Amino acid sequence: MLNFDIPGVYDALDLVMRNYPDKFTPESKIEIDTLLSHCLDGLGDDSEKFLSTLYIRSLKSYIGDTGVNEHIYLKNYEISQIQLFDILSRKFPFVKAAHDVVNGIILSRMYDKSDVTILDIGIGQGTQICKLLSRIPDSAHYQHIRVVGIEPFESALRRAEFSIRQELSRFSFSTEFVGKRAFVEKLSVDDLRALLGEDPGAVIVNASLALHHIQSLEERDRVISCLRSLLPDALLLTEPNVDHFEPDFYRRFQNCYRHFYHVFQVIDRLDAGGVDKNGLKLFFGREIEDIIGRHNGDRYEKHEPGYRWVEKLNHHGFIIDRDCFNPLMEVGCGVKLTVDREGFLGFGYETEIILAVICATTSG
Amino acid sequence: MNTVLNSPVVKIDYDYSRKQLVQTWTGFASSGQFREAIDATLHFSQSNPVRTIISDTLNQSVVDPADTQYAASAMPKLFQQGLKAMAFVMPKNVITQLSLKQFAEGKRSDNIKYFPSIIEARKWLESFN
Repeated sequence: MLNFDIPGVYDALDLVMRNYPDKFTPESKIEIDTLLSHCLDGLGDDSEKFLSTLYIRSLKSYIGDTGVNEHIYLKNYEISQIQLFDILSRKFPFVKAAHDVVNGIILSRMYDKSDVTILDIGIGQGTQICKLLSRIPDSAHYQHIRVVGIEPFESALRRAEFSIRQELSRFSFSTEFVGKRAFVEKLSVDDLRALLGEDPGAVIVNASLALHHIQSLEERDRVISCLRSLLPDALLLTEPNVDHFEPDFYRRFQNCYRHFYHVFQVIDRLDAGGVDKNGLKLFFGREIEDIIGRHNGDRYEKHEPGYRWVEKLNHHGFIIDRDCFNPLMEVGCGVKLTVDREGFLGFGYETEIILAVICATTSG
Repeated sequence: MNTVLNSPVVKIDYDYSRKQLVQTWTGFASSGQFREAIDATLHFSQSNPVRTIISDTLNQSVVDPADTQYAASAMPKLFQQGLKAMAFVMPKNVITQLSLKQFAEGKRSDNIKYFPSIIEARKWLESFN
């Protein structure tokens, strides 16, 4: 046994990160390698070491190679896309429960309508909307349901269209799917109106983990303003509750570490094997790489905390509906739901609110 | 007291009465500077009685893993030459602590111990005089 305490990984990582981005000397490169060697020892069994290794990988992508190659170690933890998708959608509480909550609210808003248009921004492969449609009974009373999906990636949009059309084909009432390959910030309000059609009925907007990809605050404001012009019955926004918009690297690192530290704690509690858990952690490594390893102008994952989305929505005349949430819902893995004083539903673990779901309307 | 080595990164003093070498490290040592200190310790021990060593790493920066190995490989020779015990004063820098951990894992011995202060290190080494 060693007769001294081994220092916490975070303390060492914090020291390394203080040199970012332009103070890396031969000494600090040795610090990185020393920390990395420490983390790679027992990597698969220690969440904090795994997380720190992902940060170091991101750092190294910025400063260039140092002595130790972490890629060959991390590669051992890769899992297939199918496995990953399965864990994310079936077991990872932030995705599964957020879909359940949001879909429940959408269904309740659709309940007394006959003609409904669901506008999904960043529809991806249509997973959430398929889950939503699967909850509508064949015998439902609707006259018409239209799903409008906006998605910048062609292959995802094609898959979404295929899956959603399959779900819609079950119904005896008329249905429609409209897909638009685009970044939402490139669309004008007229473009959006055209997608909804002349008589869209009740409009419900869903944007799940999508709006933080819009690069500038001005564009975010413009998109929200356009959405407000559509007078939706409800707008459901799901966003990570963390400030990765922060331009100062060191503060962004601290925000990022706190966020993913708690995400990894939840992953450790999943009912899944070690291979799956580490594969999921590795998946989040791509986000960390974007947040930490790229220059501000090249970053894509620019999350903002829930309260800032609430501010934007309020600013454009939306009314936050805090009463639609049921914080007593059981999520599992130690994740607790709370309705924040700003009015969003927070998915928290221990002291950290990790995900925010916001429901906004245009009428009281 | 006799100064064995005085470089920008380390001062090595010899205490005749205790037959004790004291290495006081400061900042980051290049590989050459670090190995110079290890070699100086070895050479001095060959021709002088050294019963104990204090390595005060309190203000030392990180050590290259290859240099850590180099220091570890010198330990058997030092003990063969009559060294009874070695005490480290722990570094403040957490990454230097990890360097020292690498050293410690390679050299587990009841006669090598780690202390938060030089006072405690000296106190432990008194039992070997």
